[in-house]
Amino acid sequence: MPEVTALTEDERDCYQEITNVAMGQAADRLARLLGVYVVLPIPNVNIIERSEFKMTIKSLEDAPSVSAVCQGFIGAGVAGEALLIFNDASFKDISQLLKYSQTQTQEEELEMLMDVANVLNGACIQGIGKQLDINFSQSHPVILGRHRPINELLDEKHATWQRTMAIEINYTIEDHNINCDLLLLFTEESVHHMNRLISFLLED
Amino acid sequence: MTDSQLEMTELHWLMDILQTIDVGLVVLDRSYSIKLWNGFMENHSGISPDEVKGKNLFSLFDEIDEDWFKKKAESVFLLNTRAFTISEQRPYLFRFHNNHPITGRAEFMHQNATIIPLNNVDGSTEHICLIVYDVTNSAMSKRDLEGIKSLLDAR
Repeated sequence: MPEVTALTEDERDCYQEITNVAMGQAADRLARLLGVYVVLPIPNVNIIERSEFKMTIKSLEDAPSVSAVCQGFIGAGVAGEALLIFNDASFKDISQLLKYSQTQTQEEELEMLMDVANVLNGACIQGIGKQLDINFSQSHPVILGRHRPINELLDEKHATWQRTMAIEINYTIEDHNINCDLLLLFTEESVHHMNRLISFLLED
Repeated sequence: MTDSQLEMTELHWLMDILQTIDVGLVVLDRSYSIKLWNGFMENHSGISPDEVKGKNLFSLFDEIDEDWFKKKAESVFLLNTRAFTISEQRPYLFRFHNNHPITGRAEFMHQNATIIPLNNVDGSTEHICLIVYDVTNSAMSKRDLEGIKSLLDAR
């Protein structure tokens, strides 16, 4: 299989547009869950080499400590993971919004992390699947780490992949100190397949 | 809703659940032809139900050791009891990709499997159902734990 080292301008635009629609739906759900206005940025689409991966996620979030949850998805030749990185400083504000008690236990913090991850990951994965006409299987979410420096989350030494297509979305909430990053990571094989799928969208 | 409508709705629910559940379901007949292939199997194998229906399991998936599998399955047909295989015996039945292709460390999906008999009305068993579970996470943690244990023992 030929290597995918870069995307054309059109392809990048197309992935951005698809993500825009999906994350719009996700933001809408988050806004309804929390009753606040969610600020949407422009998603960043890139092909990333394994060696650059740590640097990329480090540049996303400069918080000293983060928590992260990831969830795999697969369907119709497209496989990947949704990775939610949550700035630990956001927990206090989000517990207010979700009306959890102020003195948080570890369990409550985990509940909140999973609540937000479920909403954002689920809506994004389903949103993208719908547009590409794929009904994704979703695995159980996995906690990659809690209250850790971001570079300790991943173990790229044992990684089995060479490059990945990463779509980065940074969600912030107006008037609150809440900041989280959603990374959609697609395998190289999936990018081949998705490029073909979107070529139909690009034709007209 | 009338009773029959409700029954139909329930059937639709069940179908949706079987298609969405994060567990593989395969129904096989006496000659190991595939009769049913759910969403999990379709998504992870990349082969649609139309393509597998009526095909022989072993001709499609040569990673399954035919003799080994038949030995287990024949007892299910014959004795009408369940059979189990765990990932310690064989890490996988179907060679699927790891469900966490980027953050995961496993090269493939580790699987446990159960084979259950499906009875006819007269009680005879003409079909079996193969249930495939993804146990990659626990297999990896177990491997890590063993690694740490042996390090400690060596001290």
